[in-house]
Amino acid sequence: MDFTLTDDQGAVTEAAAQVAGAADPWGALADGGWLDILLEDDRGLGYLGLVAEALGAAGVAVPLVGTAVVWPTLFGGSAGGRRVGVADAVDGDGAASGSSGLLCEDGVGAEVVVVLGDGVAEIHETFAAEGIAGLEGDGLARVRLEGPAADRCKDPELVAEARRRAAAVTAAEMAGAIDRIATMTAAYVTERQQFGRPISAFQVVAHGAARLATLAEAATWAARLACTSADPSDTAAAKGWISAASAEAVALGHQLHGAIGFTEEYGLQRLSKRLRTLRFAFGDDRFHHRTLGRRSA
Amino acid sequence: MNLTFTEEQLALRAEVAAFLDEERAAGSFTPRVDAWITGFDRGFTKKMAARGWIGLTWPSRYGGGGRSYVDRLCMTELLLAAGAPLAAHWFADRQMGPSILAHGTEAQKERYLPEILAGEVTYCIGMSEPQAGSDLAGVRTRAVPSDPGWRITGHKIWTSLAHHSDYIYVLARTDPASERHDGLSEFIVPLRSEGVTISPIHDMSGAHHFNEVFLDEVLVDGDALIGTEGGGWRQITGQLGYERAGLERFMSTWALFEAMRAAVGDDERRQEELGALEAAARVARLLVFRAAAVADSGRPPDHEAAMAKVFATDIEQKMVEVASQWAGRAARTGEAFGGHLLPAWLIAPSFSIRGGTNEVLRGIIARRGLGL
Repeated sequence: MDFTLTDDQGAVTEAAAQVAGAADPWGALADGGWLDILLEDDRGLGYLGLVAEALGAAGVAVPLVGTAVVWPTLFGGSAGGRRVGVADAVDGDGAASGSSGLLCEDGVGAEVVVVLGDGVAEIHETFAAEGIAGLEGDGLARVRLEGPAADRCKDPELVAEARRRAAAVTAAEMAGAIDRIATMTAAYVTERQQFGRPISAFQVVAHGAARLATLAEAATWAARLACTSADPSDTAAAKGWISAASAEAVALGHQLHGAIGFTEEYGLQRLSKRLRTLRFAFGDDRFHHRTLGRRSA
Repeated sequence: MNLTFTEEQLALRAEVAAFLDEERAAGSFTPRVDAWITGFDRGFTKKMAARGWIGLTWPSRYGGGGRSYVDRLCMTELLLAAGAPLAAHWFADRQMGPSILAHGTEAQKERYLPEILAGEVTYCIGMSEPQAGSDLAGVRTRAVPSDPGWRITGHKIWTSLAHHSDYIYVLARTDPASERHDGLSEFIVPLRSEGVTISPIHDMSGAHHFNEVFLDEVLVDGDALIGTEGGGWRQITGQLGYERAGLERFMSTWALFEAMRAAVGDDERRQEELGALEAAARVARLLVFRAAAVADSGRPPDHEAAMAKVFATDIEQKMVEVASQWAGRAARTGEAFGGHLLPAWLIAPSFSIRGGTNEVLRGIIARRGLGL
């Protein structure tokens, strides 16, 4: 139990912040070798979690999870820099998705789509993707498959592991976004003056900012544990708890920002939308809570 | 960052688990909620002392284990999960010992620490007063120089375990002209002294662990003052960090949680609700371990401890509420959930009050964590 970042972890965090701040974050991810890190380093998932935190904090939506996590886990090789979208065809309650197409994470602009089924995963290279209005900036698309699978992974253990890792890294991205909301809000309530003083002077506002900081701290460590542990319960706990907490963080962040946070121009909405998308990706709070509860009972 | 246990920590946990198995097999205790504060068993404490598990974090030159605060949590996690009776040494081990180590003289360390390490003495916490609860800086208890030491007069309240204790650790005003945070000092007062009156307060469960402690011109020697005269506030801030940053802040009800686990079955709603509690408890655990890691870095955890305690006690209270919903009508009986629900409900309001109310703690997070 050591909570200090090691030198290599610190270096990853620094590099990740540069990637997230780059004009072309996707290109920077590829150039930095992050997309194949899982194949090259057994600490790769932990590193990808730190990268995802930085992307989450910046509100940058790129197909990191499909390309750098799901693909190499299932197929043991590199996706070759292609943007990989991921459609989970089995939703949390075990029912197949409807005939209107599959909801696909990072489906907007995807060059290839991995469909996760029940114990099997398929690669699809011909498909039509349509962004979901309102959240298209987050890559969420409805995907219609237009041909047979190009390849399959029929190992249920690998499919389960791909889902677990995807949930862990998604949780890390959400933790980054929640942390950014907490930081932005603490700064805003200090600057914003009403009734002749900063609104942080009002206890209820200060306590709201304290709650946000607590959610951020908790989310960060939960995600870091999930990305460095092989125990699926750590991932279920992290993705489940962070998903539920994200709704609270978004609501509280908006409430404490007032009207400005609701505008397109101000950065908060970027984080809110990203969290809305990721909350339901790779298992929402209810799904992971039930998984954990079943295991714990 | 490495959020797993070391080999050494796993070995310690194996020893503690084996000890608890033996004790349970011998029937030496019955698991129950809040046993760290209400389970007073000198014999159990002496068994722990014999294994070196009191003062685990204290330097070895004072007879301690010389181990880390994270190591201590590795141990206390199992003790708390088992609902073991820890009250006879808990406060001294958790905060008085560390405070004496941090602020006491060599002579005081030699005088006070060995008997704590041997499990022979119990300390209680003399902070709150009738007019100084959350606003602790309002203490009116005063200590006046009086040969050969001090005379202390005041009225302490909510003093858990005073009736079982040997010493009370008192926050008192030593500078009569001082106000608020200045001019406060800390004293170790033997409860068998002349002028001490202990009067019970029964809590809403009917149990007696709270007391009022009246100090009427109690004479203590000069060695009773710990640390700097007038510097008590700074010292107490550190102590409160240790008080708040423990796993007892969400594991007081662990016996109830285990009973809930056994009552889930195939009920999907219960699976989901149990999972939500378990997820939150796992997150709380990380916040507590992180606060311990701060202590290991060389300073008492402050806003980190406040954060952990607010978060954890919220979950502890939710556990009681969810169990109550599951039990329905039977929630009012003493049988529900292995007999743990009603006692847990009867103490649940205290979780977010004792050791600092959640309102005070959120203020600490906002001020000292965020600089608001």
